[in-house]
Amino acid sequence: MSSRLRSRIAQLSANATIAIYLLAVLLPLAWMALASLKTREQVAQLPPLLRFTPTLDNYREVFRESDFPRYFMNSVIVATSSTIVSVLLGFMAAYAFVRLRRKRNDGLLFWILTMRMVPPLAVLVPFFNMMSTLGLYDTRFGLALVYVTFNLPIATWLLLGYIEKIPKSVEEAAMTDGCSRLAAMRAIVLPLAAPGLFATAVICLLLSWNEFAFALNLTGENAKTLPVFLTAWDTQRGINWGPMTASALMVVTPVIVCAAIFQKWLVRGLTFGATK
Amino acid sequence: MLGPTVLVLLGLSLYPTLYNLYQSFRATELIGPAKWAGLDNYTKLFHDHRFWASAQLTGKFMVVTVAGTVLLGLALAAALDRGSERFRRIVLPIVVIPMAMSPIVVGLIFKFLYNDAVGPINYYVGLLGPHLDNSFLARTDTAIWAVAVVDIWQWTPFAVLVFLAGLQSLPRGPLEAARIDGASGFGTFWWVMLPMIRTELIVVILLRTLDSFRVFDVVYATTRGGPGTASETLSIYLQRVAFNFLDFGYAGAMSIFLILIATLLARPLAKLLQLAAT
Repeated sequence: MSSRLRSRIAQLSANATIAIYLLAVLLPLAWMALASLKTREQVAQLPPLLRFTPTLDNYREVFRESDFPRYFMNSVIVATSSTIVSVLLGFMAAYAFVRLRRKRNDGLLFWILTMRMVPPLAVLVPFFNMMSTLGLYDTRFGLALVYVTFNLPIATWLLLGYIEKIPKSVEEAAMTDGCSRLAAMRAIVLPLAAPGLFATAVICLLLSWNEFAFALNLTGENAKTLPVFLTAWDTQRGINWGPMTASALMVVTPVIVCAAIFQKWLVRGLTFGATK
Repeated sequence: MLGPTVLVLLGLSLYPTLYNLYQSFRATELIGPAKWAGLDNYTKLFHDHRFWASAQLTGKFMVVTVAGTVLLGLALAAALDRGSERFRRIVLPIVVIPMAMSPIVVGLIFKFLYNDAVGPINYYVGLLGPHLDNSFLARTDTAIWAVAVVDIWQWTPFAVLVFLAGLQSLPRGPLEAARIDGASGFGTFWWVMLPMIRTELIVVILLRTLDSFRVFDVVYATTRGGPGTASETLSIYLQRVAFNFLDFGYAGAMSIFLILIATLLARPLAKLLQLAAT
């Protein structure tokens, strides 16, 4: 067998592997999307009904039977506000780490990372107690505050990597020209770090949008977010698959679009900058 | 400028630990005031079979999901590395989808797929031979493994993308040399490429290990720890102790234990990330 033929076969089997994998990724999603467009009887049919007249009844039922728009707004507000606070505070902290300290403060960074690693359930009772005492239980403000605790460590760590790459000399030049450090930071470092800020914000938004454990235990009806709302379809009497898949699809569509666009940043963020 | 961050983190991280510590020395009863309990909650922890069963289950879950994710990730990353740049640009946005989805949505979709009445999995298995009465998620012997499959489905993309980034950044010289020396495709991969992406390998293994250790969402969405306690991981058990049994003292002792383990696991990861970042 010639070596060219051999490499051709290797190439083909590699492509076949990828094709099978893509099917494994897409089939469950397609199943969900199709189910969301079927009637209750059609959903239950096996083998699956592939040719049918799609109906939007399930989507109508989601809006009629639940406060979907409110949960959606809760998710949007909690995710964006905690992201903005985390990115701003994280930027300041990362800047201080890089510029104002002679050597890297490893202890503090280790602590920041450890905070990300602690199981949410292990800190939930204290947070539950704190929120009840402060009257923040079941409020968007309270939930956003808790989200800052897991977003801020990541934001600080990620931004550190971006700020380290900005040459000190540019900033120093501005400062010898009479700029204060704060002004130099605002005028020089902030714009140069903008892509990093954006990438970090995407990660924080994604993590907050998908967060479940805190939202489940720290909200009631008022500040309920989308993931908690989704589990409400799972009742003692079983799941009404049509509306469940319809609302699940509405929850993941924005995330899937973002992920496909920002794929590179996503990986970087979720590995804490270990991949370039 | 470090001030606000340190303040926020101090307030929001030291407080839970101290509060847990304080609670763990108290006996919280449903009725009446809490009493000082000394080390009672900790001795209870050591004699609690349910706790150790859930610890064991979590351990098994960690091993299976991390191994599955890493092996699948390696195979797929290697396959993608062979393909053309154009091919990758089409495929990667699809590959990334599962890991961006909420684990709750992923869990609910798979609960649907596993369902014994309307799901395709039991239906097609039934066509192949054995008729199944129950969903894999509803059987005590398979529930946790069925959840593990869901977790692997969700996080394989993560491993694929990290490994692929590593493979793509390799210098082509040593690979060419190995090929000219007559190494097989697999030989080159195993003996030349794998050692060169060991940082990526360790990062994925450590991150996935930590995330599996605290797994909650996907178990909650699929089985809620059931049937019975068949898929009750540490986090699920802790949730029950704290918010169903309302035993905050005991939950405090368990939390301290979990925080300790997570900190120990996080140490090598922090070191490694620091190295990778500099």
